[in-house]
Amino acid sequence: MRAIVATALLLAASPALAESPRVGSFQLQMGGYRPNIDSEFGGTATPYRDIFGTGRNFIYKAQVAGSLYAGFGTLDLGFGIGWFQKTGKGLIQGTTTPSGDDTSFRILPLSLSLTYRFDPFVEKVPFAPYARASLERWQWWVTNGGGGTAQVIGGPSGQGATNGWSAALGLCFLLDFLDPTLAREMDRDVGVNHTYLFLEATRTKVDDFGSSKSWDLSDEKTIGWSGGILFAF
Amino acid sequence: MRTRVALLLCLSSLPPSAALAQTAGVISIAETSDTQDGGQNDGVINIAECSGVNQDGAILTPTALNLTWLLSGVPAAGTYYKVYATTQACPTSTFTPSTDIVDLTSGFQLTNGQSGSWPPTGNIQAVTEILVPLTVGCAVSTTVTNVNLCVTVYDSGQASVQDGAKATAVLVVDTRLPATPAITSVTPGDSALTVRWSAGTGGPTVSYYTVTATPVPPDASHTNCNPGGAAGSHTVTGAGSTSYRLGGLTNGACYDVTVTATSDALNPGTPSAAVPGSPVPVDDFWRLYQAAGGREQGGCGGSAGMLALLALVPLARRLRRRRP
Repeated sequence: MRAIVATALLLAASPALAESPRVGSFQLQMGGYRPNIDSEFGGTATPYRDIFGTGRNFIYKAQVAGSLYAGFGTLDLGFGIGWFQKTGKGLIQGTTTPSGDDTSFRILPLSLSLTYRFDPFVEKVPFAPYARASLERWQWWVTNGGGGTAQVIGGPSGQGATNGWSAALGLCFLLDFLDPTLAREMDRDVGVNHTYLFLEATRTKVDDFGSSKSWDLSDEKTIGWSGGILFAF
Repeated sequence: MRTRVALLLCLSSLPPSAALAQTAGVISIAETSDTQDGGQNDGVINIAECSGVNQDGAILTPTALNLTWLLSGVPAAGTYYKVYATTQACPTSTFTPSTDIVDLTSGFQLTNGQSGSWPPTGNIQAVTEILVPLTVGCAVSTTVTNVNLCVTVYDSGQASVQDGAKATAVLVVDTRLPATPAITSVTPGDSALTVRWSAGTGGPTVSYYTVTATPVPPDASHTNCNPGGAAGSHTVTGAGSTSYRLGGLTNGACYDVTVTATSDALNPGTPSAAVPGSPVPVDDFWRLYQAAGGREQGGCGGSAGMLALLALVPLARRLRRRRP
């Protein structure tokens, strides 16, 4: 009799313990960023600093990925989109005096990434290091005081796209480790296998691969830090 | 322009009359020549509509009121309708016209039998037919005046009011002015001036602000600027608005800038004190970058990045095929 009850309990519990199939991941990320635009002038001019100051600002990204391989670790191919905006005051022409007109620099970073996450032992040790390589294409535009796209009279329009690459190393911390029961419920209810917090060091180079006709939207810092949350589903 | 936006107002439900079948009723008010508020405020008479004079002194077409009322049930033949305006509550017994009760039907007596229609419609030719006899003035005030419009039914002898056959509506005379705003700064922009102001205290709710830049010749308070700029004006909706960038102006021209609040009854207040300003050419970030000799020329960049992105597609397909 005792054996029958135990078997029944095991059968009843087993669907909840079984992990749902792995298909991909979704992550939200934010980090510090300041474009390296002024570097091309070698100190003779600093248009970015003159308008927007010297501070770093947040850049926000989201990425959805599909798993190409899930065995000894996970290999994801993902598409990312983000947002960066910095607003300052335009300068009265020929002076360094701020005017009443706002001017904004906006970037919509798009990326295609390959990520390998070393997670075969994550159930025992709640950390999973990962590496990511990405191709970047950053759409950008500059607005003028009237809110429209900036334009040099008789010259180029202040909008375009710049290509580049990025490479990152990071470390994920498995949140399931803190509350396994809740983690199993999330898997059963919404199909989220694992939830991670992550910290990432990124090297970004967005300058049309060194083109002499492009500005440098790479992060001013050689290594930029960011963090976020990742849902593996 | 003839506007007819009905404001339906109800009335009290009174006990049914034994003599007549009418009980409750409804009056709708339409200002048939609502020149000063675009028909937004039927039933509200502002200063211009009250006085017949616009803010700039132009004489307006008198605001006429079209009243329509509906009493439930059909009265007996020969029954008289009477329409009264009063600053008091509508009486429940026979009306006695006085300085604060005006019989509006004396000029166009209405009877059910004569009009031949149901419900009957009354047309008061001008607001002044109500306001003047009631000695309700159009001068600026700090309060509103409510004028009750009362429709009732008299017997054929006009001797007594028929109980329960009454409809009422309220005509609001609002001659309040909004508080005067104060300009806190006028900052030059490219063919524009950015104006910031603080709302004044007191007064009715503000519906919108009007920011105006008037070109003026150079003088002691307008230096380093030129005459002959293009004028600019814009309305900024919302009581909480406190800034606006007024574009379309002329760089280098001298301007006086004012801000005027307009109340929810569409009474414009006193303009703020004028503050001088002059638009100037401005370098936004892109212009400043280009002026410094920046190499970026805009556009969609090189094709190398896109080609590299596309190169990953077959790789992804190959890896996916290998999955068990």
